Amino acid sequence: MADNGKPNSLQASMAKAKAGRTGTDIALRCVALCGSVGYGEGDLLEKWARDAKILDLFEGTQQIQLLVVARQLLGKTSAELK
Amino acid sequence: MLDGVKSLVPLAASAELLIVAAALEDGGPNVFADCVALGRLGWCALAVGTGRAVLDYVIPYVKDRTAFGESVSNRQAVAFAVANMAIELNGIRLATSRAASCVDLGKGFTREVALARRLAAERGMSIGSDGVQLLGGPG
Repeated sequence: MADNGKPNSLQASMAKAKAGRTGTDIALRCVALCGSVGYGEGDLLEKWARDAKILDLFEGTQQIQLLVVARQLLGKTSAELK
Repeated sequence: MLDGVKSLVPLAASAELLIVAAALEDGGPNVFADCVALGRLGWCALAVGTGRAVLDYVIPYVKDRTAFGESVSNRQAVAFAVANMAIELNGIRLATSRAASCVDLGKGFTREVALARRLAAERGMSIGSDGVQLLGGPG
């Protein structure tokens, strides 16, 4: 849609919300699977889990994306749904 | 087959994805596993249609329903639930489309169908439950 110059804020926000939550979910489950190795700072898994979380937060947290999606689905202005 | 007032999936007549079972001849032993996988893929498509029907019903309802002097859809608790339902529905839809296109292209589809089925079973149920919750008593 971006390539074809179509408005894509609904789809982009949906993708960001889903990618952010799925990314952190997978990273944290991997940490849990690896036990103390996953949680310690000696290996990279702990860093990747933090990175996954910051990618979830940067440029709009889950809640901001949900506001964008919900406003478009329900036809609300930013004054009505804040 | 699925027509009628109390049909399982009211939108089945306008489903986006149609699966046609292949001929069994010379398919080898895997043909039955493939048939099961294709059946599951059809079931995923039904889950997508059902989820969309839920969303199409819930969105006008929450806009119309008032509580405390305003539409309940002005509350984040309601609006975010609707947004999450739509996001997860699109997740199922994309996973199902991906599996269906693997079938169409003659590529291996066991993994893609399994992923779509897991998503459809988990998220499809939560979309339905959230829909009932948002409708309150009438749900």
